[in-house]
Amino acid sequence: MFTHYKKFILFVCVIVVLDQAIGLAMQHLFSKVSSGDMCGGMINNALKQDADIIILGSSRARYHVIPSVIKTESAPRVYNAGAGGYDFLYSIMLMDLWQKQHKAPKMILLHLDPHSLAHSSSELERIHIFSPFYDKSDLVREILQSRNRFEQVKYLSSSYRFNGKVVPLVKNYLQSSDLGDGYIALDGTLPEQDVESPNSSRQSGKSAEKEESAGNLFDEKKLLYLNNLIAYCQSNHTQLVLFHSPIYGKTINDFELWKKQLATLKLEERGVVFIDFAEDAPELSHNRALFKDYVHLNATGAQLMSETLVKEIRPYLSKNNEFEGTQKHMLSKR
Amino acid sequence: MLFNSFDFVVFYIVVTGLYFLLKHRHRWPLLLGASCLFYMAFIPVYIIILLATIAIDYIAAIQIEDTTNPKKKKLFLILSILSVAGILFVFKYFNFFNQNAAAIAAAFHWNYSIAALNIILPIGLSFHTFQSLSYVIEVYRGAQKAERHLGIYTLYVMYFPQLVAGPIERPQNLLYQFHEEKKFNPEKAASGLLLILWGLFKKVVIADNLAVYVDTIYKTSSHHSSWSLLLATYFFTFQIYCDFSGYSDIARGTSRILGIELMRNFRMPYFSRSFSEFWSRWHISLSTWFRDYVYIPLGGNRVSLTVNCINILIVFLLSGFWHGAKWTFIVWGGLHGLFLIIERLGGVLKQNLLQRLTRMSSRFAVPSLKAVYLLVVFHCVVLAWVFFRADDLNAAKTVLTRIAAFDGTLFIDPNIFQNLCALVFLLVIEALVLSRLGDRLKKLTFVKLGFGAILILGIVLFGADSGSQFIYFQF
Repeated sequence: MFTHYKKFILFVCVIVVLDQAIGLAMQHLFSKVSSGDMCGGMINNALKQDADIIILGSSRARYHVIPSVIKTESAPRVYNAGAGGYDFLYSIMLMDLWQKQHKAPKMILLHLDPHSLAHSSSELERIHIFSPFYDKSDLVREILQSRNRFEQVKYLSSSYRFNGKVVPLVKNYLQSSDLGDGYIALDGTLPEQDVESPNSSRQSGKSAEKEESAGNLFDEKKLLYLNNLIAYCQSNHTQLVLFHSPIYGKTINDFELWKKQLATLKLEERGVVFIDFAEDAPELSHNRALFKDYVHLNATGAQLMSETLVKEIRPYLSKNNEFEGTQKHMLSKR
Repeated sequence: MLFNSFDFVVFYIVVTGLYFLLKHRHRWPLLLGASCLFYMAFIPVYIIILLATIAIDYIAAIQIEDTTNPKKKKLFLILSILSVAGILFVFKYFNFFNQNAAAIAAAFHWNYSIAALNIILPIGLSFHTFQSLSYVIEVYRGAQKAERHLGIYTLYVMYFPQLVAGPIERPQNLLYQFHEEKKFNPEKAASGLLLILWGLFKKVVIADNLAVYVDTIYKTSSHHSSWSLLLATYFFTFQIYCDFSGYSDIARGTSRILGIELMRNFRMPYFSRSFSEFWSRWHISLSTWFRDYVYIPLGGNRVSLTVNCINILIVFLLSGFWHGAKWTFIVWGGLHGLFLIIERLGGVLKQNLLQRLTRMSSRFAVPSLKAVYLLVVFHCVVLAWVFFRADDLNAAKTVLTRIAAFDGTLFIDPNIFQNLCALVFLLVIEALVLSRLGDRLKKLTFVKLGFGAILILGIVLFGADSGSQFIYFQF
C-alpha cells in the first residue's frame, strides 16, 4: 500500500514540475510573439504601442477606424487596438495592462454596441485570451476568475494559461505578421441578394437589434469598469470618446431603448463624449456600397466614417492639449 | 453536472472520500443520495419520472417472482413494460408521432388538432428506461432474483456514473456488486484514474475541438465545399466516437475507483472489418440489449434467411428510433440494418474469397483484403453518420449532394492541424492497445505514469474549456 502512495506522490510531483516548466517555456515563447488573434499575440503588440489616441472595441472598431485618418498634429500617434470577436471586457483589460506601461493617452476612442455593456457568457469565455497576463494585473485576474467559480483553482496550473494557445503561438512565433497601426481594411461590398432577402441569416445586424429590443440590462460589473475608466480619464486629462458605428439599414429609432439606458449613466456630465453614427451620420447606414456585411464597413466606408469621426473629435483634442498632468493609475481601483 | 466540469471533480472527490470512510451498510444511502444530487443538477423535477419508473419495475419484479401462475407473470411483465415504455413514449416520441399524424392529416385534408406537448426530454431517459426494462425481463426469465431492497434497486437504476448515458447495465452484472463490501484497492484506483483521464482527453481534447469545425460546416452546409463537408463528416465520425466512448470511459473509471465494475461499451469500433464486428464493438451495452431482448425473441439466426433479414432491419430501425424521435435517426438505423443484411447475403462470397486467397498463399493478399474490408466498413459507417448529424433529411441530402460534387476549396480552420495531430494520437494509442506490444507496455508502471502525465498535460494545454454537454445526453 505504502509503495502505491509513494508512487502517487511522485506522480503528482512530476506533474507539478512539468506543468511549471511548460508554463515557463510557453511564457517565454509568448513574450516573443506579437501577432495572432488566437494566441494573444495581438495584445502583446498593442501593449508595445505608445499612442496619443488609442482605439478600443470589437471588430467594428478594428475595421472601421483608420488611424492614419484620425491622427492630427497634436496627436500624431494613433493605434487601433480593436479586436475581432471581442468587446468591452477585452478593451477594459487591454487598457488596464496598457496604462501600466505607458503615459496616459490624450484620447481613448471606445466602440460600444447595444450589447457591449450587457452580461455575456460567451464574451467571458473568449477573454481567456488574457490568461497569460493573469499575474500582471488585478483587474485581469478578477475578470478571468469571474468566468467560473473554479477558475482560480485552474490557474494554479501554469500551463493552463496557455490552454488552446500552443499551436497558434508556435505558428505566430515562426511566422509573425506585421499588424501595422492595427487597422485592417475590408474589401468587397454587401451582396445585393442578401439585402433583398428579409430572412437572410447573414443579417448579423439583426442580432444587435434583437438584443436591443430585448432591453439588455447593463451588467453592474461592466458599469463599474466603465466608471473606473471614466475616473482614470478624468484624473489623467484623457478625453474618453464612446462611439457607435453604423449598421446597415439601422436608424436612430432602432437604438432608442439603448440610448435611454445610456442616458441614465449621465456620461456628458462626466466629460465623456458619445458619438452615435446612426444619429450623427445617418446617410452612412443606408449606403450598401460602404458595407462589407451588415455590421462591417468596407475600406471606403471606413474612410468615410473615420473622416466624420475625426471632425467630431478634433475640438476635444485641442481642448485636451491645454492639460498636461502627472499620470494617475485609476483603472484597477474600485 | 457534467463529467467534464470542476463541479463533478469536487462532487466525486467528496463522494469517494465518504464512501471509503463509511461502513458498508451506510454506503448505499450515500451513493443513492449522491446519485439523486447528480441527477437533480440537470432538471430537479424530472427525478419524479425516474422514481415512477423505479417504483413500477420494483413492484412488478417482486410480483413476477412471487407469482407461480405463468399467465400472471406475463401480465405483470407486460404491464411493467407498457407503463415504463409509456413514460418514454410521452416524453420522447409523442411529439414525433403527433407531428407526422398532423402531416398525414394535412395531406388528406383531414381535421387534426392535437397540440404538441411543450416538454423537455429528461436527460438519459432512454438509458435508464432500458436498464430498468432489462431488470424486469431478466426476473421474468428467471435469470435474476427480484431485488427486495428498495434502496439497492433504486441505486441500480440511478447509480450516478452510468445514470445519464450508460453503459446500460444488466442486473446480473451490477446489482450484486452493491451488496458486496468493497475495500479501497490502489491498483484499481490507479487504473480507474487512467481510464477517467483517457475518457476526459477524448472528450475535451478531441471531441470538443472537432465539434468546432463540424458545427461550423454543418450549420451552413449549403455554403460549404465538398471537401469541407467531407472533412467535417470524417471529423464527426471521430467526434461522436470520442464523445461517447469518452463518457463511457469516465463512467467506468469513476465506478472502478469505488470498486464497482461497469461493462465495456466500446472496443475500438473503427478497426472493424465487418458490420457485425462493428456492432459488437460500438455501444456494446445497447447492441447486446437489442440482441437479447428483441433480436433473439424474434427468432435470431434460427429462422429463414428472409425472416432473418427482416428481423435485422426491425432491430436496427428500432435502434435508430431509440436514439431520437427523428427521421434522420431512423434512416441511420435503417442504413446499418441494410449494411448488415448485405453482409449476411454476401457472407459466403466473402468467406470463399478469403479462403481462395489463403490457398494462394500470397503474403500480402489476405492482409490487403482485410484492409479493404476495414476501409469499406469504415466508409459505410461514415456515410450513415451524415444522417445522424444532420438536422433533418433535407440537410442530410444537401450534405451528400454537395460531397458528391467533389468541388470547391477546403475551409481551413485554425485548429485543423491540432485536430489532425490529436486524431493521429488517438489512432496510435488504440492500435497499440490492440497489439501485443500494448499488452506488454500496459504492465510497465512507468509507461502508465508517463501516459497519465501526457494525458493530464494534454487536457490542460489543449482541452476545450467550454464544458460542453455530451452528445448522448440528449438520448
